[in-house]
Amino acid sequence: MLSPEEISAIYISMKVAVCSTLLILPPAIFISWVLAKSSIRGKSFIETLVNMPLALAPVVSGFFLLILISRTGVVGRILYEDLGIELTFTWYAAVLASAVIAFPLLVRVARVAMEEVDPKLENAARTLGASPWRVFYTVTLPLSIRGVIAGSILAFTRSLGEFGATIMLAGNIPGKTQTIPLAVFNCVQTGHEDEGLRLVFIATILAFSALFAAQSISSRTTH
Amino acid sequence: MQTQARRLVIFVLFLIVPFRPTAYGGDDEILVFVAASLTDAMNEIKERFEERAGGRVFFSFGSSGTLCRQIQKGAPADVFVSASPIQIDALELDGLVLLDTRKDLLTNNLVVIVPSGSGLRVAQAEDLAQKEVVKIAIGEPDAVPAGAYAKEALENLGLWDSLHPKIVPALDVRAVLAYVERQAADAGIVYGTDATISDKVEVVYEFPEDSHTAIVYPAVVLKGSKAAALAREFVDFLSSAEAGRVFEAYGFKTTGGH
Repeated sequence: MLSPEEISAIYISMKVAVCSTLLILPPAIFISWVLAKSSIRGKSFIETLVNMPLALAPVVSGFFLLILISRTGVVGRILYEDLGIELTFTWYAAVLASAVIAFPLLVRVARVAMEEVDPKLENAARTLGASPWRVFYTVTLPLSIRGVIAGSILAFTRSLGEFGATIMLAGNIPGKTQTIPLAVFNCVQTGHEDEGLRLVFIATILAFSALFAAQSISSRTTH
Repeated sequence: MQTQARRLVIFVLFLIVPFRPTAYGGDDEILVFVAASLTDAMNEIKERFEERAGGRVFFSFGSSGTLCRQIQKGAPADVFVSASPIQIDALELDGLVLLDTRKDLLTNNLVVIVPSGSGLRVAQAEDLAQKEVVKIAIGEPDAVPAGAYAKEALENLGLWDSLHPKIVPALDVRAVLAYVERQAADAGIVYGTDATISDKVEVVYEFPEDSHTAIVYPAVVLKGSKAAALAREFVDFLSSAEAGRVFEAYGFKTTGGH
């Protein structure tokens, strides 16, 4: 029923979305904790920076990343000349592009969940001699885990639908970096609307299931 | 100081990238940047090429403008097949093209389309000024090659200034077709081959060849290629009679021997 190209696009989409969600999970939890619980200065600056990908068009974010990590870029040159690694136009680049775009979504949801954790509980743990790290992983994180999971699913969904940054940084290479949205783009460009609609249908089911799961998890937190 | 910063970046990147990705780099593999409108023909040509050559071909599809910018920023492409010479000219100026590899593969014509059965007649370009034509969709002239040609043709015919208020710039050729199919625009200007994608539009006028720069689709080998031999072989194959027949089967016109 599905062509090999379509199956490959679905597989690459899933692979990229799972990896980018796992990739951003640790740093996003850390940043969420900093924003929700710490009293360092410049929090609004950090928050603004984290949210930048939401404000910029994904194509623009993708272009910045391309300038940064291509062989002529500041970071890319080091990778290429010293290590022989070239990230652009591989599926790693698709992961990176999705990760940057999805990052603020995870932080927004996880931060709110952490802010809702009662500081009295954390203070109680602290007075009983728990280190900040222990307070975090025995009190704050377990009590906000639903928010973290819901945020992760949201980030996963956003990665599934990522187009602009991905096509800039990873290209549109069937079998390597062509995700569902990129395959749909190609179908539309070449007038293959039936194939395009099939992929749109699959993407809709995937996104609906993931968003529905996120919704059920986060509505349970409030009750 | 600089080496320390380098080490730090390397360290951080190793944390982020747990295992070493396989970069393009083998001399038996090429990455070809292709204007999206050529997708079908190129897929068939790729199969034929891989049968005879000892290497593999990967495509990355996009608009010619985007692909050009990616190459300028260091994308690891070996070959670029553009829908317009403008991008190739720019890359040549930047010194990114391997000398003497440029081949003009295809030509096209520029036409006016209207929704099927709309009854609108355009016997000459001046007819676009009639009041029944409220909106004319063309590709965004700065980004879409077909749009740039449309603007040039209208300018040369002395119509651009008067028609300008009617012009609706579109994201790409598909968007022009969609506007005209759904009668959101009364007319559109696209390549002859684009018009054949849709059966809901009809061609009512063809711009004279001397009203615009010749429309050609050039292919080049890029300087950064690490598989230049295979890349050259592929560009040669693209301009062969065998590939030409494939292009023609998809409605393109070949330049006829280069």
